[in-house]
Amino acid sequence: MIFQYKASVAGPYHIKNNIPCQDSCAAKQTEDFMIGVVADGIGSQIHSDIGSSIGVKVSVAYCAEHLKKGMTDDEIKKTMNNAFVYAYQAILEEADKQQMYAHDTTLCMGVYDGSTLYYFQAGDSGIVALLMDGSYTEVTRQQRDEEGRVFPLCFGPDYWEFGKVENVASVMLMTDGVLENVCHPLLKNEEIKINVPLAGLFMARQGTAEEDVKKLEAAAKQFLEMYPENLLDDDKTIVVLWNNECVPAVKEESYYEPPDWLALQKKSLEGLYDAEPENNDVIETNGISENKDVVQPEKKFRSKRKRKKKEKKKNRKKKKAHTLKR
Amino acid sequence: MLEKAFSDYLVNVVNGPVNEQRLPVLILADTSISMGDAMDDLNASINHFIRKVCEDEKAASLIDLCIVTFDDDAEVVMPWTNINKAEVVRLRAGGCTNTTAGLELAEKLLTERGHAYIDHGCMGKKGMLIMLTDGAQTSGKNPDEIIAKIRRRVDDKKMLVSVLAAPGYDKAFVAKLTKGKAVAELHGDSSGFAEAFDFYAISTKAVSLSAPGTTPETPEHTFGDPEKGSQWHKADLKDWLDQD
Repeated sequence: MIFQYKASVAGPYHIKNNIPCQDSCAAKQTEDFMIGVVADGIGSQIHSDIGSSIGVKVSVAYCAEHLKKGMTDDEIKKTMNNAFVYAYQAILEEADKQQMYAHDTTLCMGVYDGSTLYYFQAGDSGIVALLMDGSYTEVTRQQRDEEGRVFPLCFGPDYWEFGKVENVASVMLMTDGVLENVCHPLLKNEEIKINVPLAGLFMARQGTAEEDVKKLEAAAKQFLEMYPENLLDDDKTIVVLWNNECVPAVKEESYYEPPDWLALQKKSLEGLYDAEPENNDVIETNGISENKDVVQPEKKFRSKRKRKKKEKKKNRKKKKAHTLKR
Repeated sequence: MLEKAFSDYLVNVVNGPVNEQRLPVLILADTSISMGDAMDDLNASINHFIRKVCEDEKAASLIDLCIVTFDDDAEVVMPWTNINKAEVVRLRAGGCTNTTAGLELAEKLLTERGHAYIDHGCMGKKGMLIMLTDGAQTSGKNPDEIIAKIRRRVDDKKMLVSVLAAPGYDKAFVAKLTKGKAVAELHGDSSGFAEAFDFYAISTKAVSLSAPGTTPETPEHTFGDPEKGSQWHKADLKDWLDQD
């Protein structure tokens, strides 16, 4: 049997500034599937909370009505695509009514049959799956440009992505704030790319009684409310789906250890500065010396690459001169 | 009561990955020969900017600074450096004014910085370009292409451009680059650079410490307010737009 719970809380910044939670989420059991969806209204748009809410409602309703067991992957893809089109259409209709186009949102949907997960993605929310082999994997990709700006639902089918994952025991859909704590950018170049203790907290669940699930939902909501602001100040939304008949394998103990965040941060910063001053006579500005405005001998910097290029050029010249001499 | 697994996690997460965004700031300074008399004031002002930002340890740890100059050509005087580690600068004036080269290099460096943050798992705010200019372009290629590129990036909210315009600057050029926004004209001598960079120090600190996705409050400062004795006036460039 497939279970679900969900939680959505406003971020501390939104609470302080009386901005509504712009995230929305839903989960719906149909005869054949459990459908989960999350949406994150774009922060800069004043009606994005309405946009995300409409997006969730319309897309879930459409899939609940049209997705049937026995459909081919292509048919499922088309149905999910149409759900996103109708969701966007409904958002635009609302914007027309309000005579203001400020409703942009992301939309991320998972359709789970207890083993296979189909997903459809528009934007930078995301899905993590717990597979039967015990591993956690990020199944979606955050759709952003090369500088991290999101491509929301309005970018259309050319940007939307569909996919399928098999042997899935549990699924978690998240808006970007939670997602970036579970799949933290600092883990991007690491062997284990998931913050497994945090993902496991939500996803490694075997509860079956309805009362247990309700308690779990309340606890997850409280947890998100209490989550430290300095780690996550955005709106926080999750939807978790799991099949209690699927018990995933247990991996080696080290797999479940928390990442060493301080070491990861240090490593990340080290890679950011690849140039060193040519002159070693460094005057640290951190010390706030009174003499800082005193004119110092001119120091120029060159990046390592530029220095190497210059050295190469010099060597080539030397070589040429040497050849000419000969 | 919170489930034990959840409360245990909250206890242990204190050393977690802090939600911080780095702020890249690029100062693009005109060092053509016409800036000659103003260089001492400019150097002192930039060094004051660095020192003042570093007064706030937290803000300083998040701000990356790069300094580019342009005269006959553009040059990186200080590559991307955490402002805590920035050295005292001394720029020298000489040569023509190749503004196009300066803008091209600045735009490239800011774009690359955004990519570098993503590659290294850091989060970054949109880059700030602070340009100082005192004259029209006298060498180099037509700037229209780079101006259009920068305008697109500003419109896409990928960078901010702020221009400090010293007497003699090319109004039409600056108008094209900024659409008349965020341009301050110097009405006085070069000692006014100190006031401008003092303002930038306060505002970059505010931006660097603001929560992701939020608009930082504008710091209180005399900058740009002639009634408070500022030597800098908000430039009105609308009349200069779209002229042949």
